[in-house]
Amino acid sequence: MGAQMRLLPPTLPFRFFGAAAVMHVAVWLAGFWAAEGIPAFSGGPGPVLAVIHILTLGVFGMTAMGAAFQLLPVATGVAHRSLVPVRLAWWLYLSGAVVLFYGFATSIHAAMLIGGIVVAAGFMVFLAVVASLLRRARTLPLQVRFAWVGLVSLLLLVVLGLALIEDLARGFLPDHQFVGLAHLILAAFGFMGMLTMGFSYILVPMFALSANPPGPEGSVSFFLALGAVAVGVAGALVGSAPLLGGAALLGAVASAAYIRAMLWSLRNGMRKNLGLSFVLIKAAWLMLPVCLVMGGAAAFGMLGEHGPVLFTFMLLFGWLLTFLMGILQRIIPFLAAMNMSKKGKKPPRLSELAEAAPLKIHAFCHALALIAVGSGIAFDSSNLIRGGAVAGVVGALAFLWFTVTVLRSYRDYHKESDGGSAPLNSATPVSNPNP
Amino acid sequence: MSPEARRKPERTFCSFDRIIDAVAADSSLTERLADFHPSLARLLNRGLHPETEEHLTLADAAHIAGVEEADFLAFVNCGAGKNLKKEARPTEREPDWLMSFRRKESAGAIPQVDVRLELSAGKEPFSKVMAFVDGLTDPSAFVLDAPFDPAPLRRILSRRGYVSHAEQSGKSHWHIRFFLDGAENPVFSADGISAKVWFEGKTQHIDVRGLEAPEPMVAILCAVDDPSCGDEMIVHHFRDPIYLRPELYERGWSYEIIPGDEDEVRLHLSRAAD
Repeated sequence: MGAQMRLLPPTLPFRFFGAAAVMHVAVWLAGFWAAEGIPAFSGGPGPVLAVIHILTLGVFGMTAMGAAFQLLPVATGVAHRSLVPVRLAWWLYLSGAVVLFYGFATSIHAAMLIGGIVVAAGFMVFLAVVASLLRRARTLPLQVRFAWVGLVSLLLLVVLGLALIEDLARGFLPDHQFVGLAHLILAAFGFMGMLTMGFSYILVPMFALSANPPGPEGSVSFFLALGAVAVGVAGALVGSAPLLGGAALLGAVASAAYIRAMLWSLRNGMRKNLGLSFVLIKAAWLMLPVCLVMGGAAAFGMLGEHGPVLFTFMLLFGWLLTFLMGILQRIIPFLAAMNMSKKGKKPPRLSELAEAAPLKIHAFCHALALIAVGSGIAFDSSNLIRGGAVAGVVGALAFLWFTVTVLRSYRDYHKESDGGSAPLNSATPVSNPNP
Repeated sequence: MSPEARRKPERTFCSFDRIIDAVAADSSLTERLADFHPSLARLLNRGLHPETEEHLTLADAAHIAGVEEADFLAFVNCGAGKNLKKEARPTEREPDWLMSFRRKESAGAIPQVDVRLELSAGKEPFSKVMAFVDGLTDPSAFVLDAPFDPAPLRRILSRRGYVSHAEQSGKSHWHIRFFLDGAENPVFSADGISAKVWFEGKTQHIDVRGLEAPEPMVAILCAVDDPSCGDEMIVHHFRDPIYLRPELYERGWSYEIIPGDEDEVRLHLSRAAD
């Protein structure tokens, strides 16, 4: 099978990753604006809900879609049947997300509903495309299982999300907050968590250049994580602290098995120096069990008044955002380099594609932002949160600078070899005489 | 300036650099090595055989010394970790041929060569081993006794078609069994990935079909990174390995797809001329 339909035209994955980098700046800017309401947030539309969704839909969703559209075909060897749905998913998702953010920020119900429906349509196209790839995959059974659970979670979280929006107008849900928590668990652990773990079992060995972890940790982490999500969602829907605590415990054991497998790959990989990206990834691995313990404690009211907000912050910003930023700074240049091989033109090395300075600034500011905003929530200080958001904006701008530098290197490479514009709309042709 | 800072060589060495280059860049390295691995230090003091000199990498030295590769590199590059801790090396997986090999060995039917005395006297044992192998009337199997696990020698002999299994039988005694496994033998890889490699003329072939991602890529890069690798290689793959491109470019290699059998994508890898 040729590589063309597995290696997408670079414009497709790059538009998702580029959008994630832009939304990353927007998250921190919006966080600065919404700082006053963050420590006491307990759900409902407004600036804080907009911040959460700029992060989850704008950064996480965009990254997940770009990665799934590009990495799944390459890893499984199954090609897209058509690229039209990929483009359709992008336009639906982007336009819907912008309207939804506006609706949440201004509490205009019509905007929330229209935005929500269009985002849901984008997600459904994504779901259909990925399901088609997974159905035809004959390799990587563990990773495929993780992705299936991610898709089912996505379907459920979309249904709950739309119900939550409609509940704001009609008030038909028995408990808006309980359903909101179930929506959060499905989004963060069910959809993003499962995809993150599944992709980790491909990407971490690939970046560390190791064999696949040989032990039972992969399957153990899968079944425990699946159980944790199911119990967690059930616990949230019925408002049961013991069930939520049990889910956190299951999740913590699942994360221990997952991290153990990942560390095996790092220990046994040919590449020992994995750079700054893996400093972020390792920090995220550390924060995953920490936030699960916090979640369990928050369910029993042991973290005080601001416990649930602190848990949500650690979950979304501490674990997921840190992890995705670490992965993105690996994927973006890797993807650019995969598309840079022209006859008669020496392709640049990965290390030549971008400067290290922006990533150092990003990592430093990201850590500073996490500490400041976390402290701001714990001590109910909007000034600390604003300070952290400023650090976050600087870090996010540095990350955007990094992304632009890679894209510019890509464009210059093709410009020099073509004497014209970069072929962003076509994958680098690879002649394959084999059927 | 601290002693550690003074020791820092001008360039940073990585796993695949030769130890001889690291010693040349840092005159104190041999002396420091003597602190934790006398055999290795004695070898370096007396001068290596050209073949060993060519093949002995820092990764090999760490392997021989029984320490973590990352710790060893830190030790070489910045003088860090004076007290390098020996790692408990996992026992090698026993290959299928080992049981019958042991039976023949117990019956005294396997020739043996012992280089422990040479090494303790600071002599380079490479010539002795190669002369022994060349002189075997039945070259299908032999046993080597050495004070450490000789990773580069095992790699060099794997080019002749030998597979090997190392077993530590004492504090400074390794028993390495070599077996000539027909024309094909597994890649010598610390990751335990078994891809078939063989030679056609001077060109190395590697077949990674049947491996699950990312193991084909890792096996190919293992083979490419091997210091004894030539300037070209033929890869038998089940698809165009697009993930491999950036990693190959990073190493100064490129590839093109060439006609192959129906069930494969055949790649011609070549080292780019500088």
